[in-house]
Order: sequence, then C-alpha cells, then structure tokens
Amino acid sequence: MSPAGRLTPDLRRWIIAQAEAGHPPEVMLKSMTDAGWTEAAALDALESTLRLKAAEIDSRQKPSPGSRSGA
Amino acid sequence: MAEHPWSGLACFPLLVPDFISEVERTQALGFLAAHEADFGATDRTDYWAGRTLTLPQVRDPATQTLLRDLQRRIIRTVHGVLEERLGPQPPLYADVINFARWPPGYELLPHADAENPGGEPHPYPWRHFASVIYLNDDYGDGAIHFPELGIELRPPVRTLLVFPGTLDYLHGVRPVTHGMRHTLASFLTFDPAHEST
Repeated sequence: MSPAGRLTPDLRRWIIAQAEAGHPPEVMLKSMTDAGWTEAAALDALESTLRLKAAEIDSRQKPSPGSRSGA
Repeated sequence: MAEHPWSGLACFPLLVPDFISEVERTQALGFLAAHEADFGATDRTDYWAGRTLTLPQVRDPATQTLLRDLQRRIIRTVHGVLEERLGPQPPLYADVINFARWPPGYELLPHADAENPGGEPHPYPWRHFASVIYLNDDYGDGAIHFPELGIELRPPVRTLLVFPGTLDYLHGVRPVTHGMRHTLASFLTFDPAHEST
C-alpha cells in the first residue's frame, strides 16, 4: 500500500480492485488504518476514488444527447 | 521540484456536482450563443485562437458579474477543502477565468498546468489549481483524462472539477467528435502577484 495519507495511482487501483472484488468499505478502511492511515484520511481516499470511478462509469454508460456515435 | 502538500490529497480531482445552478448555466450558454463572434476565428496553427474568452473580453456586464461570483465560489470551495484536510491555509487568489470552446477535432494532449516533466520551466508555475465547469453535453467524446491516475470521465453539466497544477495531475482532453464542447476554465494561486484584476 502507498505511503499513509497520499492517494497514489497504485492505491486508487487497489481500492477499485478491492471494490470490484466485492470487499466492503469497512474491510478496506481497516486495511488502510492498519497501514498507518488516519480514519478520516482513509475515508476521504475511499470516498474520492469510488466517487470518481462511479462518475467514470456513468460517463461511459450515458450517451451524449445528439450523439451519433456515443461518447 | 517543489513538493506541495495538496498534491496527492485524496480529494483531488475534486468533483462538485451542481456547482452552478441551471439558471446560471442557461445564462452562460445564452451569452455564448449571442457572442459567438467575439471568440474570433479558429486557426489550426494557433491552438487557442478563436477558442477562449477571458473575463476582460466578456462584453456583457451580467456575465462579468456571474464569472466574478463563480471565481469567489470556486476559491471558497477549494480553500474550504484544503483547510478541512490541512489546517489553516493562506488566501487563494483567482488568476484567469475564461470560457473555452472546443470544436470538433480539437483535443488536448496530457500536460500539467504548473509543472513540466524533468523540471523544465513552465510558463505558469503559479497556477496551483485548475478548475473546469462543464456547461453543455451535446457533443461527442471530449472526455477529460488523467493518465497518471487512470481516470477518464465526462462530468455532468453544472459540475465543477478541480485539480492541482502538479505533474501528479497530468490531464488531457479526448478529441471532440461532433458538436461544440463549452467549459469555463479558471486557475487559482496562492501568489497575490498573479491575482487577476
């Protein structure tokens, strides 16, 4: 895991992989706090990463109005 | 290269849905429709020619007021996010704010807004944060992507996106395939010498 408190690309990937594998947020939170993250910073990292991933998925699924080829 | 405490903060890139109201979006789009000619002609040999309108170039007082208000709200949002995570922060100042339009075929290759790879001098090293407000979605592709972060998205209209100017946040824009992509871009700095007037 990346240095505590710094949300690196590797950590983003780890969070997404854990979420895709079905691990609940509290399990990821425990792993991060065990690695030295404060709970607040770990929650921030989880929330930010998963929110951006959701926005990314939403971007791909939502065709743009007037789009002929999709976005 | 300077290590900035905000670079790598978990909250960035920061997405703020519904940052502007539908009334404000309609006002901005109405201004753009009425003042399209003010952008001037695009020029394939000059990347930004005909594609931006900065605050001083906006000839409509109501839209000027809107942009100044948005600058204040963006600063308040970013400053609040920083203080929540890092404690008391010095004041932030608004550098440029501008409308940007992206006709079909335009794209932006990955870059950072304040740093260059290898420590090469950057023309705007004071731009500590960049922000984008998404004004429309009736265009094809034009997604913003952060190759270092593995993120690619098209934020919904009225969303504010903020990210630091450091190399951690290399970003680009995928080619627009059709339609006109409209955004409001602005930059924030801790350096009062670069506050826009």
